[in-house]
Amino acid sequence: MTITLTEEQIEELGRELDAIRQRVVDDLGEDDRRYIYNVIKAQRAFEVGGRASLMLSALPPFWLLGTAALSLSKILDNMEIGHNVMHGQYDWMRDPALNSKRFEWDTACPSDQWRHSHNYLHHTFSNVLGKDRDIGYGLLRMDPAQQWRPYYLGNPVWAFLLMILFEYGVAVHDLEASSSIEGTQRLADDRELLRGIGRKVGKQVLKDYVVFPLLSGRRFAATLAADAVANLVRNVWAYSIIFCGHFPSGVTSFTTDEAENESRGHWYVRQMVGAANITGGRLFHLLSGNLGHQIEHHIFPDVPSRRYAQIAPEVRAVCAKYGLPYNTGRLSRQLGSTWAKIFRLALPNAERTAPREPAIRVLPRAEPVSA
Amino acid sequence: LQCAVEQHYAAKGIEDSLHTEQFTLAVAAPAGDAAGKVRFGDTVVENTGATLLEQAEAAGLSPEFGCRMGICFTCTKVKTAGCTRDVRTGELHSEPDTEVQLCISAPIGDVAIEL
Repeated sequence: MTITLTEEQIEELGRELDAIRQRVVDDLGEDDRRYIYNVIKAQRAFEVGGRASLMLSALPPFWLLGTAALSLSKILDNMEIGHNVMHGQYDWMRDPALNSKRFEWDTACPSDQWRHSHNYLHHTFSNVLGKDRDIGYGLLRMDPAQQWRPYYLGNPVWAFLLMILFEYGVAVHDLEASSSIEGTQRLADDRELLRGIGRKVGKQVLKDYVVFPLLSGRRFAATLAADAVANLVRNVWAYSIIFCGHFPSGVTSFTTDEAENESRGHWYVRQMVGAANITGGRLFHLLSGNLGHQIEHHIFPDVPSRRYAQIAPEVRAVCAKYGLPYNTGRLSRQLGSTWAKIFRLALPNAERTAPREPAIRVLPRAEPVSA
Repeated sequence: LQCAVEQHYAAKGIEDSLHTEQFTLAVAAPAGDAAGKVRFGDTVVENTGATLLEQAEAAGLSPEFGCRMGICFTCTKVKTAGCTRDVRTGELHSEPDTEVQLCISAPIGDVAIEL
């Protein structure tokens, strides 16, 4: 489906979204500050409680409680805190602990590499084939425009493995994205990235699989298992939420040409039709780092995530006004649609696809009609 | 207000004039950006009014950057002194020792950036 808009419409849409952003930014303050501190407090309570529970006893109720608390701690740390803080959503608070450039999170990926592959590459070139490595993570076929190879017969298997080992997939993402996209990457740079990954993975392994198990004394194995399960739970959850952000059916992808020399308004349009939302309650949005508001996040990545729900109706109205799709649905629907795509694209495209229509057609400025 | 005053002073030198006039004038016409000097660490350049990132690059410096549109925060640096304008929104920032995004900030008058 091609979206047709005039230059004037795109400009107008950009102004309307800019105005929404400005209103929110002007209103940032005490409530937002209190919110993020409360989320951090909750995350720390889960972490400390979980660790304490695992140290106290290896009896199943304690182990289960401890493992659940640890899983929640990691999910909150990665999604509502880490991802959003590193986007610069709380830089305005000038708290060094919440500074986008200094924050480090509880996962295998070094935060400086994440900021490059995610904040820059993924958010600037969202859904641009060949530029946004989040399309399939260099492992999967997630778009019919990706040339089919026999390797992709394993698409569902590779996706399943990526889900289980998600934090390690994310950890090598920048290495992979940098060398394949920027091309000019020198071996020395790769080595530098590899060293960074090695250091971070080492620290994580030491913490989760050596130090805390050792601290548990004779319950070494129980704590080690709890940490492994907590990491797994976080991996599966993060993978599921993130894959629903851009892969449910109906989300648009773009060619490099289409994203060239675009205006801010055009960039907004590309972001909105290249993302998909997930509906849910407040708890769901908290645990998914508000990524259920993926569309709002992609147009305003540096606006504190708790504000997305607030502006969603206005963003949706803007989409409706300009005839843009606003892709949203329950988690089961979006996730089902994503997995269906993973299976479908394991096979070559069924029919020869017609030459690709541009996703957005921009009509030039109308010439003033002379009488 | 401080920012507007600084901007006016930069444009007009240190001529005496009424502060109230300066304020109104500066806000109404933020065109005097291209005056004064921009200091990037030890490098000092004449302020051309372009964004800090463009001016740093024109001076032969290569600060880290990414999106060049204000979303990725790769080019964030500490501004030790001076006033900048967010080129997207027109907002002025005059507090010293605060972080600015080089790609969407244009210096107004004298500005010092820590690279």
